[in-house]
Amino acid sequence: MMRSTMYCLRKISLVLLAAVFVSTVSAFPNPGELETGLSAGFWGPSDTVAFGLGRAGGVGFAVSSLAGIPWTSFAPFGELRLGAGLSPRGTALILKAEGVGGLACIPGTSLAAPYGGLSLGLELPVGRSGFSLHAQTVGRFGGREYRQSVSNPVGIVRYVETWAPPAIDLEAGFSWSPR
Amino acid sequence: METEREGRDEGGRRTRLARNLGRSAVTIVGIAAILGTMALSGCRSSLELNRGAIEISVRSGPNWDHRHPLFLGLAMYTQPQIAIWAEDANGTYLGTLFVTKKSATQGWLPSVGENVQAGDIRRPEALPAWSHRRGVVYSDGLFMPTSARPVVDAVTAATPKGDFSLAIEPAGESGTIRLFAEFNQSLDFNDAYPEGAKRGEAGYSGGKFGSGQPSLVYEADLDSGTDGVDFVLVGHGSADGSDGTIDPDLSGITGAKRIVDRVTARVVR
Repeated sequence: MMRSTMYCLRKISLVLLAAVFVSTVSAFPNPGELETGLSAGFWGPSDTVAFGLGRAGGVGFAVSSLAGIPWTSFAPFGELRLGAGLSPRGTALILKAEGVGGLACIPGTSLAAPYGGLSLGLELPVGRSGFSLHAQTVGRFGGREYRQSVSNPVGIVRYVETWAPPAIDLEAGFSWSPR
Repeated sequence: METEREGRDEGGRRTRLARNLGRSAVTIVGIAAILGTMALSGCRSSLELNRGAIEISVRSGPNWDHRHPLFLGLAMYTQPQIAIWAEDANGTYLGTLFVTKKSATQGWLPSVGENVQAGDIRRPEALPAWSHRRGVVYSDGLFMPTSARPVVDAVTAATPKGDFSLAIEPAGESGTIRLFAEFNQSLDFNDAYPEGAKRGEAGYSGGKFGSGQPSLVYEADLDSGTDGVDFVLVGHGSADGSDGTIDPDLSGITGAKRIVDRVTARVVR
């Protein structure tokens, strides 16, 4: 139990310290505004480290990277998210849904793999500060298969390896845009 | 005055309309891009099987994913280390066909509480039968590959998330080829191989960050006239990785027997 708790604390602290995230998209920001943000997420068994930036004209851009636990299997990925939000009447809370499209480098290879996904989340503006807190879950699917072929004294060995993005990612963080 | 206000309202409406149209267009383009990505990701290839090739298929069992509880019902899952190799009928090692990347490249990561750098970690207990049969001794006296001298003459890949297949086009006409597959799940401790066992004690398997139940070894003899054969569980590897013996006594093995459901080899005719 102790190990489990320590594992989690370590993982969360790594994520919080290292992640710089791209803000996400909702229909609410004014077109033309840029937004920056910080977010932390779990990407399957690894931690998501995303560097990023912003939103322009209602379109969110993410330039992100993926790293294993102690960052030994670093491989970049790029992701584009598009979505819309709704604010329940009388609240500042924004419920948002996004489509996700991305291209990831497969660790240990020079190959890239496309993927798609969906995201659902909440965003809470903090007064008139321009800051918003957000929490969301991202589901990703897709990936690609690629071939390996090795020759040795037994013969030629062939194998098809599959890379897929982790299915579920949880993210939390904040973002800022000028008001 | 009234006309001026109406003009401003009309201008505002046009601006909002243009803005909304712009957003809609961007959304449509984005959705199209995402759908395109999804379509691309659906283009999958499969393993090529030429006539005379040997196909080795591994069907995962219920314990392929080993559950490590975290908290609040959350858990992380790990998959086994695997090596598949070939010997001749006399038991002479011919070559490795497949080995999981961590084992092939010393790509181990420290467990929580394990105060050691990733590059210094050695796991001799991971695949002892394979590593000793392969017979390469490293500078520290161990047989598992190092990052400085990784396995290069075999397929190395991350552990598949489930069933997988390999194809081998034999280098020449051979009589009987003896195929072995070794599987080991880390940290699957049980009563016979407890976490607290100390070095030198019965059931020691590398300590609290070690193997737990030892590796299991499956074997199949494939003759030139045989179309297909099932691998048979023939024993377990050394629990602490100190030698390459295959011990047929499986009395202390529990959940490890369910890592694999079935391993088969067939010749493509």
